[in-house]
Amino acid sequence: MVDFLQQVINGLAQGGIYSLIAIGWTTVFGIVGIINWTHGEIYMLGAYAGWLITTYAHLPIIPSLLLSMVLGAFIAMAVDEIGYRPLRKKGVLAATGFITALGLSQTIRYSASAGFSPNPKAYPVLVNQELITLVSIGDKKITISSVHLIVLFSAVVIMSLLELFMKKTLTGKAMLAASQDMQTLRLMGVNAESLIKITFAISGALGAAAGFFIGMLYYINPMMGALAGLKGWSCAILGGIGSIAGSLVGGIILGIVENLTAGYISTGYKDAIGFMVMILVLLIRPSGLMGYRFEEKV
Amino acid sequence: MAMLEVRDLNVYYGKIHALQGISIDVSEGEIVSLIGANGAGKTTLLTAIMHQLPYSGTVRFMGEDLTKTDVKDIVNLGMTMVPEGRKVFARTSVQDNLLLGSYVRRKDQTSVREDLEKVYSLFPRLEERKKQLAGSLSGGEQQMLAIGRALMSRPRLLLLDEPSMGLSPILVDTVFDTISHISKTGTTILLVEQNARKALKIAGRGYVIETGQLYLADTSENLLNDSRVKEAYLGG
Repeated sequence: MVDFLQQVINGLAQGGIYSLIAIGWTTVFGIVGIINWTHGEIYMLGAYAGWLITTYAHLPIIPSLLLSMVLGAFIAMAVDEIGYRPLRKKGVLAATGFITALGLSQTIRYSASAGFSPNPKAYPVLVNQELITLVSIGDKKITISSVHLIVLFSAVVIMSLLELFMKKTLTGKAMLAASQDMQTLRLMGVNAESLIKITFAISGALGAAAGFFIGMLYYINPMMGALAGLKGWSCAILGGIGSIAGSLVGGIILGIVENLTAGYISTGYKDAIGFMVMILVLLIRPSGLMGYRFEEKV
Repeated sequence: MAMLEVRDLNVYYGKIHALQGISIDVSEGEIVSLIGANGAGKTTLLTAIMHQLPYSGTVRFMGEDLTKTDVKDIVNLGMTMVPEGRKVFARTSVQDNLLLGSYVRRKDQTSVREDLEKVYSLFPRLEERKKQLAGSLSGGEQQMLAIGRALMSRPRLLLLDEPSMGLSPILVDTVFDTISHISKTGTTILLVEQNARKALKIAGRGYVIETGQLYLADTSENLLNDSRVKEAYLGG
């Protein structure tokens, strides 16, 4: 039991990172209506931005994180401006956006590989690594690493701020409305293009934050966006597409399931079992764990 | 000069010539009803006026040419549409739906609060349910919400697309009473309706469109007594 809880705790930080990636996917999908395959690359670039800032500018953790998020926001807005907006103007985004996204994603990935070299990079030590005891049961202890704790805490803070923004500001409310019916929202005098840019900025900032946190935990490399992006998207679907709370839950579940698999079965199976759990959940609840279902009223 | 002037408006859906040179006027203070059968082009006309569709011809509002104006700027100028089928934001609360209606006036929160109170006094049901998600409201309440949301932008001209659609007879009467009331408080109204009799009764003038063309234009009284209108739209 103690071992089990320990594995669950170990999965939380990774889960929080998946949640951040998933929220970035789900907001863009909900509002712009595209599966933005460059999201994994923005996460990767965010990790590299953090690596450059912490390694060469020697900034402390909070300014480095914030700066990486700002860069991530700008990169995501640039992706929209260059890749998607021209298609949107012609009204062909739904049909062609996916191909554009895949092309952009590959371009960014291999450009990064050329620029940063394919070799893994490590962040400098930003916080002292130590084990914090959460509870002691007899001679056994449940611990959490200080780095994991900081990652988890920061991820929760970022997500809470986003939730506050969505619930309390008119722009946030407009974003929720846009994910329901953009055409009608335009009738309220809302500038759809600026709302879309804000959405990409938020998505990019969250993706970059996720990349930064991964950099604090593991080595980073230019190919890291592929699998993490896919997992983030899966978590968004698992939680119920369009739901921020759902993405949070979906990410945490995947993080824990992966860790339990690695702990009890084998590290080699962790990706496969993670995806299997997701397929099982969706078979039982096709709209995701927290997806919205409304009956049409007359 | 009319508040809204539509001249020679043409809309194509692919090869289908949906609106064929329609011209209409709405003057300040009027209620003008636009009637016609299903598929005649009524909704297309309103949607084009709001510039949510590409068209040829001209639309002028308060003397401004809207031919190159984006829908968000049209709302800023004081023209708002209540779309067909209500289109409330189902997963958003009633109050937030109303606040989104005031988006163009978001810098002026004091007057937004005032208008919120006005809408609530017009539709007390909405105030009772302000925290509920709009998707949980009944059809009639959703129509009230859609109208209230449009009023939140303080329109000078309100376009209403089939507000009585799918409502019970009692609620239909309530909706028409509400429209008369809104008109009396100084908002000009262009009303699209299938319920031709009620629509003409509250309006001063009316237009009849058939298969994308203007068929008749006259005062409501004359239209209500017109044998062609009687036969086709008022049930003989």
